Amino acid sequence: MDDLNTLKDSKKDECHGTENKFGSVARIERFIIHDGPGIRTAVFLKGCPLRCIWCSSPQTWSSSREIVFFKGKCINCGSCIDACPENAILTLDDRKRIDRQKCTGCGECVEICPSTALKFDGFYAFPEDVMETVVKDEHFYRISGGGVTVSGGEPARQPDFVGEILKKCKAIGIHTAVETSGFAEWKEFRKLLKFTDLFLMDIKHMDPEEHLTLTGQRNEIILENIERTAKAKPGSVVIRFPVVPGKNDSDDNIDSLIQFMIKADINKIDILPFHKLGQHEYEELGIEYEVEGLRVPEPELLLKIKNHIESRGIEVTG
Amino acid sequence: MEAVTEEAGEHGILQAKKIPRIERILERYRSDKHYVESTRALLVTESYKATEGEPIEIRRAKALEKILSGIKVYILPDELIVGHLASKPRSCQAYPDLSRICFEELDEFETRQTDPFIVPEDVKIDIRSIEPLWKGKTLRDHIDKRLPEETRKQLEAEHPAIFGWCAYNNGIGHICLDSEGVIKKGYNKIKEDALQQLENIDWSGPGNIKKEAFLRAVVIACDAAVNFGKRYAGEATKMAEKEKDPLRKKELTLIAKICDHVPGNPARTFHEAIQFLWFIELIAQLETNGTSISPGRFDQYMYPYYRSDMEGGLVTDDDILELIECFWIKLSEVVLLYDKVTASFITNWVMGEHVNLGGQLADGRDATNELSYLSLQAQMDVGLMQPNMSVRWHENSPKRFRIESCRVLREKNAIPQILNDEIFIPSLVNRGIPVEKARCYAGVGCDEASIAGEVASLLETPISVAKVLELALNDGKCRLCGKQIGPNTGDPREFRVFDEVVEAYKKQMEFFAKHAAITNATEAVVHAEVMPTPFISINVKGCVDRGLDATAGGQEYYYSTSFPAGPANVGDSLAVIKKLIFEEKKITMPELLDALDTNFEGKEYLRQTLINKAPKYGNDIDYVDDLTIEALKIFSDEIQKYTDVRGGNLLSSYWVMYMTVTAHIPFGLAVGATPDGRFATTPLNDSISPAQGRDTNGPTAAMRSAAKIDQTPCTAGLIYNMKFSPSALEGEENLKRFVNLIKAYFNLGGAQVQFNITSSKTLKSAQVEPDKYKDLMVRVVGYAANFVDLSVPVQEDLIKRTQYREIGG
Ligand code: SF4
Ligand code: SF4
Repeated sequence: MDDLNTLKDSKKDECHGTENKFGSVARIERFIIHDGPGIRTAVFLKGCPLRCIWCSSPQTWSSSREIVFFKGKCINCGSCIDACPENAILTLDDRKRIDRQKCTGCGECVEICPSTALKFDGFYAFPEDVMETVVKDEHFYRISGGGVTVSGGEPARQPDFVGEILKKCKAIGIHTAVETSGFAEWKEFRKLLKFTDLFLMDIKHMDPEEHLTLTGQRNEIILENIERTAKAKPGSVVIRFPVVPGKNDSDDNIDSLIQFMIKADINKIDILPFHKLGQHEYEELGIEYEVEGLRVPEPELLLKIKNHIESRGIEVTG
Repeated sequence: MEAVTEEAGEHGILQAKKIPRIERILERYRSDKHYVESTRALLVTESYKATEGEPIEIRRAKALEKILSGIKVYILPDELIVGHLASKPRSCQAYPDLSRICFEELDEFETRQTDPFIVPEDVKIDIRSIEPLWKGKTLRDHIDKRLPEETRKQLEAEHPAIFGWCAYNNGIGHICLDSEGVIKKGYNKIKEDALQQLENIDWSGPGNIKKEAFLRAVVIACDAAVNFGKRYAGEATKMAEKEKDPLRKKELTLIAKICDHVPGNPARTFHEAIQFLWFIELIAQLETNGTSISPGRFDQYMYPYYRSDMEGGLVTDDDILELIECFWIKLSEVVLLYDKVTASFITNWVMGEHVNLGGQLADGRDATNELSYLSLQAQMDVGLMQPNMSVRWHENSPKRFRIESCRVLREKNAIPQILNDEIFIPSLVNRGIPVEKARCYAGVGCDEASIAGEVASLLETPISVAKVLELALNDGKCRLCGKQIGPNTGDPREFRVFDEVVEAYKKQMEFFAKHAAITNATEAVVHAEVMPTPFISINVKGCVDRGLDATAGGQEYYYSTSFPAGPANVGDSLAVIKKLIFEEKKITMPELLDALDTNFEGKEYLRQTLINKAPKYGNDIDYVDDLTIEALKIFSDEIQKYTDVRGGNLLSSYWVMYMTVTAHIPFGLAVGATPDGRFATTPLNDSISPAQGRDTNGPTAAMRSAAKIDQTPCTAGLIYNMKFSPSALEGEENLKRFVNLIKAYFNLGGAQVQFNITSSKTLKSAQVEPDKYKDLMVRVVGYAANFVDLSVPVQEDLIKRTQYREIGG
């Protein structure tokens, strides 16, 4: 039972697009143990300005809610075919189940599907709705020194919505973290500053051109935001560096990453090995998985990078 | 006692040690095969023949005497603690005086799927030879004869709602003995006390004829135990004389000295005390086949011996550790000859000796000491199925103790389990036990709270609440065979409001709770009549003073219990009925019932709807959690109406227990399809854990659901089983998170939690290649077992249980 998703969907029609504190959420996950200290709840948002070629979570690209199909759960009852008012489902063929051109996202099929084989990949919510789930594990945060992490998509894309969630958390003493690509205008990004205890900020590549190739955007604005954040809130930034062999693991790139960190006075970094665990998400959304060519980094490579960075006095975790 | 330093770091992290002696013993242990032997059976038969007509107490004591002087006495290489149950280690005795299974299943022991035993031809001949003499005379036969017809029919139903348990087939067990007091006294002194009483007995006083017989039995039992020790002393002396290796010679000489001294006299050293302790366990197991006769708070009552040895400069921590490890292995050597049904779910031959660590002193201060850590270390090193270890946590438990107990359970999967003093102590106090005693509780069995020597063995007759709901939804008729086994509670097709469903469930529960109580009462009476236990009685408080056997009211506190099988299935089913039938009217009652009758054949759409369109327990959703709580409350309210017929000084003597051991599997076999979408005859949910695969919101949500249940009435224990993948616990940071997860759960009101730390991938591989995974331990509810020895359904069940997503991987 995906309680929250179904529960909150009802609100979508009331408010969609009319209220800037209304947000698009992919999912809320409890008992997260890697995005910040202690036991945490992570709020994953929808909508991301980057398209990293290794992305493991394509569901968070678009900020609008989409239908996802889990073929393993389908019992082939055919009810969705009858229920769809747009005739967007005409076949029980696994790959072409939904005609994405015709689908209006009305949700009739989700409602009728008995086995949750058809679901929305997110929901629209007010900050209050998110808080309802977030506070449930307050007790666990308190005892473990944990809290809430707002994560991507890109939190800075919904700064008012996210800002409000963070503010509400701080008001009741919950530790807050934001995991961000840093790709946003400063005037939007700074709205996240006040109520965030910890920033987990990605650097995917130091070279603007390479960054463009890998993510679809240049990185100047990102690096600038990182510097400004580190300056505004010293000690609050941890860099996250996804290691994608052959793409961003060159010595040059890592050296310039280190220099940047030293200059910005940031002394913590998480090294995140690229993984292919998100492959199924592509399938569920009916998109081609194009990262087949990428390699998962060998432990030796990770260790080498770790030692390299550590030798410069920077703390490496992950 | 010294407070222990807070930080684990100062003491170093607990790491597995390999002690050469222990490695050698373990190697032997792993290659030992299980045999059934007939020695005890023959001796007890002979004794019964010779004592015909004597008072039953005397007959039992003489039988014990015969056994202890007749069974083989031998010492294996490397052993520091001596004494064996049978002529080969890890073999078992037969108990024709208690159970018929050694006759009925004699030809099946070798071939059965779980817990097979080798039965040599001569043993078969021996057992067959005594069969006619025991016909109709075993404990179980007596119980069957004494049960009221109506109750017996329920127990023997093809698809029953109540089940005979423990004392139905076995001697009294699930008891924590007064090892502390006995080791301090020695049996010579206890015998003296009994003789003193006998001298002054007024034969005309009420009950004194019986009392006299009991006290004489006590004298016989004391002598028998002391002589058993002497036999070992003799054997050790003989071996020492022949021994060439000077080191071993010294050890054997010491063993001889120790066994000459205990159990007759008070122990003076740690080694004497631990040998004494082993004699208690061993002899109790030779007297009857009681389950979970438990050493209890080992780190507490052994502590004075540890201290004085250390202060005297006699030993080092390593010496003590070696002895504890020898003892842990000894506890694992005890195997029980369960019947095939029991063996299909209580696997690995375990008897269930529960050892308790940490917790509080009588005055409420923290009780953790050096022995608590050495005991954990021993578990880290030995890591066998026994002892069934629990650690007691309270508000002021040292951080180091929490972390190290979690480290051991991470490394040794499953053991220890963790108990919350903040729930168990008030729970005992509510039952009428003074708080100073309550603070010294010890777990027995899975995690029933006991007071050493004072709380008597439990009587328990479980109720399948899933079956009870089935009957409520079928006017008392079994959905599998159509037989009327419950009362008429109305045709559910006519139910107009949800409350009518609950009302029917309540009435069915009332009916079965009564039969469960009658079963317990019958067991109590029959045990006292035909199976008094003089040896258990000299190892508990009160019996010798009162002149009453432990089965007959000699102890301070007596309690009975029942446990509900399938409460989450019931809660989930009630949510389906309430929401989908009565509130949303998505489906109708006849539609549902027809689907249940045909086990959902051709009704997959409906079944998926039942699963996915109504909330499920274990996801932190009040709607269904509340219904699960109601289902449990109706059960516990009903059983708490009764009183233990053995007497005793409790305010309320029907304690609540929320666990199923692994009985949710066989009990599931007796239950048809349920409204939560569960297929007929598949396993029920395990204890108060969510139904298999139904908790999808992660461990904090599942814990919050469980913590909504008021766990304070569960004085007789409860089990909350969680499964974690190893990657979620890797590293010190995650270990701390894990500690905090448990702390938070306890803070919310959780009384107990235990874990399986194995990926389902590993389990599946173990199924395919059992040889490679011989040492893979898993926790099967109240006890731990070797995965590859489990029956296939139990294995499947374990695999199916929610595997928390690997996070951080
Ligand atoms: S969301 Fe609506 S339009 Fe899209 S496939 Fe489902 S029923 Fe058809
Ligand atoms: S309604 Fe759901 S289960 Fe039925 S065919 Fe469509 S996707 Fe499959």
